[in-house]
Amino acid sequence: MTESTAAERVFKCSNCNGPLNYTPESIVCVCEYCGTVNWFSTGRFDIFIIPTRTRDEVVKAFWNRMRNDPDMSRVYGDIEIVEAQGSYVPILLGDVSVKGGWVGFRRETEYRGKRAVTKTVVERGSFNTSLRLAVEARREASEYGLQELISQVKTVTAHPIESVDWKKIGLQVLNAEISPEEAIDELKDMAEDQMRESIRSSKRLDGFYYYSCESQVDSFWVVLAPLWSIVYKYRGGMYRASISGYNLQFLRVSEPVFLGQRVLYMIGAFLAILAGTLILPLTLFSGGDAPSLGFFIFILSCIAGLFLTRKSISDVREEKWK
Amino acid sequence: MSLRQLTCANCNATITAPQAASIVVCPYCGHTFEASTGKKWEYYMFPAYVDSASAWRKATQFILRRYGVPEDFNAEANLHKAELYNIPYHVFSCKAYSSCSYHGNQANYIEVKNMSILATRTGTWLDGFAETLSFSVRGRSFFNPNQAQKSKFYLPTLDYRQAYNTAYHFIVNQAMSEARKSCSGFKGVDKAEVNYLGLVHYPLWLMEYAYKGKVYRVLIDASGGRVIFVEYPLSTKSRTTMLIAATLMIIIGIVSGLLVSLLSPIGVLSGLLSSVIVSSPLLAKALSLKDRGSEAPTQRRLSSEAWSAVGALTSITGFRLPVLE
Repeated sequence: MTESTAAERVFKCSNCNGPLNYTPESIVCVCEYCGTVNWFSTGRFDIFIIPTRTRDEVVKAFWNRMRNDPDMSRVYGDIEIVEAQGSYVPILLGDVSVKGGWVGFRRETEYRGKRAVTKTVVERGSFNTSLRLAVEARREASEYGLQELISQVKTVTAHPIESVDWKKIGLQVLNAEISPEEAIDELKDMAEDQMRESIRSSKRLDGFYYYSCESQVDSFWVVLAPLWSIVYKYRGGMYRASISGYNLQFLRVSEPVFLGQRVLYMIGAFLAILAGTLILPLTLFSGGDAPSLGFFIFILSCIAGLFLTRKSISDVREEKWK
Repeated sequence: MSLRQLTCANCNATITAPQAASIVVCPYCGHTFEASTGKKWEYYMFPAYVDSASAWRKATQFILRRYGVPEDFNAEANLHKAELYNIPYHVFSCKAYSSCSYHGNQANYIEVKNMSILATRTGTWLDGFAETLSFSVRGRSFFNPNQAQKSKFYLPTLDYRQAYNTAYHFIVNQAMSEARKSCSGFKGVDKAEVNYLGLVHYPLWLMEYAYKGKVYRVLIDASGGRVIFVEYPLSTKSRTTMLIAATLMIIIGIVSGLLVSLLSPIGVLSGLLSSVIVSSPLLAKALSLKDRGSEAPTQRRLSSEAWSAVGALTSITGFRLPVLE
């Protein structure tokens, strides 16, 4: 007996019998045609949706931005949209209670005359709070603008998927591929790391002697958020923009680098060379605690110059939503 | 490479596999089994969504937006080789728990990660890229005979147990380094769980094109559509521009250095040093035979390099970054 190969298996929607976009990883498939939720696992979670605006509105928002952008408006007529595609991306949201304590240290340098003295300052504290975390519920990290969308989604109101009119807001839905058990581990790992980093940066610590964080996932759910991706062409080169479907905000956009910008970057690089050349010799022989400062500025201007030179021969400029 | 003939237990087809292949995937029906025991194996493949025409289009569109590409590139570049490679990876889901005690206090940490480990070497130049390729461990799909048969379909020569050990070491190290970041006390990894999720094939387009008698290479992610690597020619005009700019930079560095050297003897040195550093990307690009590019974010790498340079500096001189309050 030969068993049927996996490729022949087709999964159908329980409501409208339409074909589902099922892969072996799928935990749940939302039918593209009618919006019905089809489960493929026993562990379930709540699914909410943030409705998208229409394709026309998204495309219009793209042209508006290009028209109002000081650089892009000059080449407005040479831009051509190659593709505009939207999909609902599953994002896992969770409320995690974190409780713990920490002992950290910070090195501080004091100048006593010509001598620099470094001392270590110890600080300690504790926390007991709740974090709202968001992470993609699938792992194709290549989706352009997704990280920006995830950081927006935490505060947006989402609706139960049954309550929306699917005919109006239907789009391709990417499958959630994270099981409840994985979700809990992932959220705990994230909560630990995020809490530690936020303590480190807010207290300006150089490291920890001790850090403990007991995390408990109170609840988690999946939000389907609309992400639109536009591919456009300018003089044969291909560029991208991603737009969030619910507020038409530009999440990320890549734009060509124009000659004028290249020249500006280049001028900046020349200035950096001048700064680097002048500062080190001038401070090195003026005495006091200036030498280390001079050395520092020298390195900094070299790095800035290097960065500007690379920008002057780079291919795209990336702009991100913050 | 020595080969051997095997018979597929599912569809009876004859499969030619390398002697070293530990797991064999039948290219006709997808039946996957361990070569030594015949045991059935978990197997998936990443679908090649991108065909050769759109892969080539992506490559040229990517090249055309780069700086210094000759104007006749589109007319003169001729694609003469396009091969789909299906590269095997062992995939794992890993989890490790570490703990640390510090003056009687105990802290516990968790680390989770999905991992893919390259399961064979093709012996071509794409190996280096295949090793560092990052892709979602999820997103795999069922076997597709069409994709398997119309491609270079590689079987794994690295045993999954070896790959398992690598994954195990990796997650343990990762958990230890997390613990090290958090705690200075006595620490260790209490438990590590590594689950073998099976074998996958990931498709890549390996292409070659000629431009004015020279051959250039292209590597495209056939599943995600990313440009992993391209080589392309530079126009004489752009090379000249970059060389002139670099020379000007060095001249300005030396001249301003000479002026300062009236005050301090190291003026010329600092001028030369800063101008050579700043102009180095121009020189490197102008003097290279072929320029290279990739869709991977280079900017982030540059900024992290920059910050590690600053970090190194502060540790040498005991200087703290000035903080704006």
